[in-house]
Amino acid sequence: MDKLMAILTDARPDLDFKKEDKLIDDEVLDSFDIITIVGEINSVFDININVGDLLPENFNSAEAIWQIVQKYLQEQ
Amino acid sequence: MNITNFIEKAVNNYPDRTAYELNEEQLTFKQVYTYALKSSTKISSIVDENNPIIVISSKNIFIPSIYLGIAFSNCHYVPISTEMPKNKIQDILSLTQTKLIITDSDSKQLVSQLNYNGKILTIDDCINSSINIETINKRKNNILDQNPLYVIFTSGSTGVPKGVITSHSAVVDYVITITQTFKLSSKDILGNQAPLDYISHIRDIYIPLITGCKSIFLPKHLFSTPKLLFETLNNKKVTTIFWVSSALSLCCQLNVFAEIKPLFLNKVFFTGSVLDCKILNIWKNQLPNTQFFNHYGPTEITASCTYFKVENAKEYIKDIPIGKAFNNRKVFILSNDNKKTKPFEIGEICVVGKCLALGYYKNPQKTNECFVQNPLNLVYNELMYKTGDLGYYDNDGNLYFCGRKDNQIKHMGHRVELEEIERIANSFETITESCCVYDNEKSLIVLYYSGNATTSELTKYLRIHLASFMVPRKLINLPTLPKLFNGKIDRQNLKKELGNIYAKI
Repeated sequence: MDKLMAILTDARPDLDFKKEDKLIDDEVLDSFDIITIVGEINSVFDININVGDLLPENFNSAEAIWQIVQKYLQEQ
Repeated sequence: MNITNFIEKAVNNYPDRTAYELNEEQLTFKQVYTYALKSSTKISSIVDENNPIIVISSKNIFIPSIYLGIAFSNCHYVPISTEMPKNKIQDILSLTQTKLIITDSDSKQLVSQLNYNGKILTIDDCINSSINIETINKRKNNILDQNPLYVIFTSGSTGVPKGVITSHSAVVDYVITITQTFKLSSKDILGNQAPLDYISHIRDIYIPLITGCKSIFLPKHLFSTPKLLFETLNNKKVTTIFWVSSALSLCCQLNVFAEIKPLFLNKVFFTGSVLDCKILNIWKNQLPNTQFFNHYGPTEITASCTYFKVENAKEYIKDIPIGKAFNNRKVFILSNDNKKTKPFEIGEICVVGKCLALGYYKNPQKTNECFVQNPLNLVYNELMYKTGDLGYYDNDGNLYFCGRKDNQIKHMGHRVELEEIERIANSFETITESCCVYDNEKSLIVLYYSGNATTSELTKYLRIHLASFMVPRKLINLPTLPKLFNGKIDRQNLKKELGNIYAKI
């Protein structure tokens, strides 16, 4: 989770990812942020997040993103 | 002809067809017209003719009626993004001295925080007004087609907001020209990507009026979730998209074609910045029966002035041409000594035609610098716009874009003056100096700076004072910045250093 928080904070130092829970629904993150964050997650955790998992419910909060990362790690 | 004639014809020809759609909401041409008349009645009761009216709103189905209502009132709309930083909105307010702001309920709070004494109307106030045909007709009859239809503010290097003023006739000419060129018809369904405060709104809003086609306003968040985006294109049976190149790129970067393909798309227009050939080849291979067109043109010549039809059978390796001029405009390249260039000789791209903007808002100096007498015409007055873009021809007469004369860049479809970012960065207390460069390969704005500020506190500061897309994503603190002989910061040197910097990080 620390590694994920580092990725998120590095992409958007202005946000408090502990509090945000509508990152996609409220358009807090834009498409450029998503590309950056997904790219970093894929390289740091050595996974390949499928476009089908790029859904608001999976990316609205740091906790939700962590769940989806866990899912990929367990599948390996 | 002016833009109000478009909606009047539409309501005669196809009153009950759907014009616009956003999520579950739809409006027919007749509804759009009625709401425009209501808005005009309300607006005319507050402001005199020929005044700027600021519109601040998120994507909203009633925006076309508001714009048309302002046009019926013989005023001009000034669309402002809800993402624009407050200090910049404030500068625009003092420059335009606007007496009326129209806003949606989502953006009302933002507007209430501004230092502004004029009138504020919500979109609801406008569309729920009564209709006074007499007032509307009186105003409408005073419209000259050379009057401003809108003012769009873009990034400026000096700190003074740079507002491009565009006339009815330029927009009418553009919409008719592209509709004819690409044979757009009532069978088409448009999928709009950009916000409605962006120049491309003239395609998304006005093409339906003269073709009877439908325009789907795609919510911004779909572009962060591309699978849902493609599902929406399929559910709504979208045939035609005018998207910025970066939107096409993100679909490939997130590998959406592996899951789903757009089934109804037959025309893809891309614009805003240079599209990577690799991205074009992926789209082409995935959608072999779709036609692809590159579009080129700055806001000052009304959306786009050249286009290039991509050959699907051809693999593009190096550059995609920006092509040739649309009908009724001349686009050519001039050398430094104002001569026509030979093939492959680089010069400045210049444009002549009705499509030219009226100039920059209350800025005769900048206007006269960029809108000049065509030096090739020694016979009569012919205004020419100097784009500041560099380009060349190939042997077939196709144009290619190859950079800028100044430090303007295109990032995610937005026009950005690097000096504007530096000016804000330099205003931060603990910054000594700064210099911005653009990494074309990674589509990344990089800020080099010297001073004690931490990258995190500097980013937070920049986020408050700059639109989100302008905030540099990489900040690099150096003891001092390299200088040229004249003492100016050596931007080219810093740009060359980019590769080395990444290696160190």
